[in-house]
Amino acid sequence: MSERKLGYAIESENMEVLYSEGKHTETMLKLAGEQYPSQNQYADPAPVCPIKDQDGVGACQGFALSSIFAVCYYLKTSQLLNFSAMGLYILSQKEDGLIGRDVGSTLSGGMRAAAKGICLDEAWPFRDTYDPRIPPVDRPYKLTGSRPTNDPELIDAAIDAGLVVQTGMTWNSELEQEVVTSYTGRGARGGHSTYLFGRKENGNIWHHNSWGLWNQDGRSSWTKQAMRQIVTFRSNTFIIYSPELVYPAPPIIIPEGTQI
Amino acid sequence: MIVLLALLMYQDFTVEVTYTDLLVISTPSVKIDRMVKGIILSSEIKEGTTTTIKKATALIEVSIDESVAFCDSASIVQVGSNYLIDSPGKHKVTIVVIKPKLAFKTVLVELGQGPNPPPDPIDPIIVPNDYGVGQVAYDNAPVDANGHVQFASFYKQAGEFLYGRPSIKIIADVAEPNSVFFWLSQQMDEYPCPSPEICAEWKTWRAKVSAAFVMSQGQRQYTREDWFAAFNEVVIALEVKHE
Repeated sequence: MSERKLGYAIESENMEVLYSEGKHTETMLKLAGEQYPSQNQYADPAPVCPIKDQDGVGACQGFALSSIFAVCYYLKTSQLLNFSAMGLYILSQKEDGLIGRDVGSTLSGGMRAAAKGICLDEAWPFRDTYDPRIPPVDRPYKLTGSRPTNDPELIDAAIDAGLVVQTGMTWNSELEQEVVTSYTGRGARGGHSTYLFGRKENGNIWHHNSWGLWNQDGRSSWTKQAMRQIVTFRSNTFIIYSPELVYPAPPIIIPEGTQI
Repeated sequence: MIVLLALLMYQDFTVEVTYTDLLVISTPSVKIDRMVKGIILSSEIKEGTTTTIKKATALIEVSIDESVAFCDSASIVQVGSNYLIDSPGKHKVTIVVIKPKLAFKTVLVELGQGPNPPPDPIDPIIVPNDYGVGQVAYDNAPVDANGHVQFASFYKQAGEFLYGRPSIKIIADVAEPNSVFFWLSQQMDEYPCPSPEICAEWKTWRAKVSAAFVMSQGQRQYTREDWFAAFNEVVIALEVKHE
């Protein structure tokens, strides 16, 4: 099997930006617990986590972030929208100072891009090739992430609160298993960004990738032990996103004349 | 056409009784200095030879107080439904409502006709309607007890899906298989109606509730909590109807 494209620029990650511009993690979790206490984290999240494919572009971080936007939008409105992965990749690169080369992007660049706003995929579509041009479109959807954390308890709490977590990880073959049971970080082949949302019935955390039908349905699951090892690994970074997003009026879902 | 003020009595509420409510005064003139609820004091006839006080209710007493120094002597006689003062001069006439504690309502009526009948009682049942769907769901629900239970359970489950209980469904077009509306529509299609007539009524109900949702969407920016609450309005409406 040919190697899949990665795209998390670990070496360019700006932890200072993440710490200074991210929301306080505990506060975000507390608010989420008060506002979104009823989400069943054991429900299969597949309906709101469509399978996506970054193909041969180093846009994993943009894809993860576009899916995070979609999940947060779902948590807020119960509706599903397709946010521009390409837009988030390119805008993140712009924040990183990497624009012009398909070398990936960082979580800090992504956090800044998300806070400044993004559009839907239809306005800035992904076309399987790297294109750094920024189209003149409105970008009204905005999202703020948390400070980074390497605390497994906080990640567990975020998942149980029905929130979504972006990962920036040292990728190796251990993470390619359908069920990830352990992680050492050895044999790294680069940085990769994905996201976590929901739990399996056995308590494992759902890990969503942007490699199309990877592992049959584009995702894997992490055992509790693996999650602790991955989260505490020194160069891995995790950011929590809550549904407190800025967004324009949702589209009318039931058009006139429709009968439910 | 002669019009006068009449008094109608109801049992459980009170209205202010005014001089105008009680009397229609004929010539020459009667001035009332002041009055209190139900009792008129110090009405004074300043001139004229004969004064008739027409009463519009049997619940008053009319008398002349001759103990006042500046008033002339006279007597007052009831003639039919009127009162006659037999001498000219200044008189102090006291009009007392005999049973002021009785409640009255004043309405304008035409002589020769009876009072208007009280309006038909308004259905007092009120269902939650913040989203404009509860009342529509209540008003249009057919007489079908089992249907009330079933349709309420459909809408209840629709709300639960939004939180992933037991699984995730989203707010999307009715043609989208993972939409709560697709699911709702399917459930309601499969409901075994007790008769074709009831089936037709449920179809009308669905159209009207759908239209209410369409209208409601245009009036607010729905969040997940809003959708849940709106679905719950339908649930409560049908549960109340069931009772």
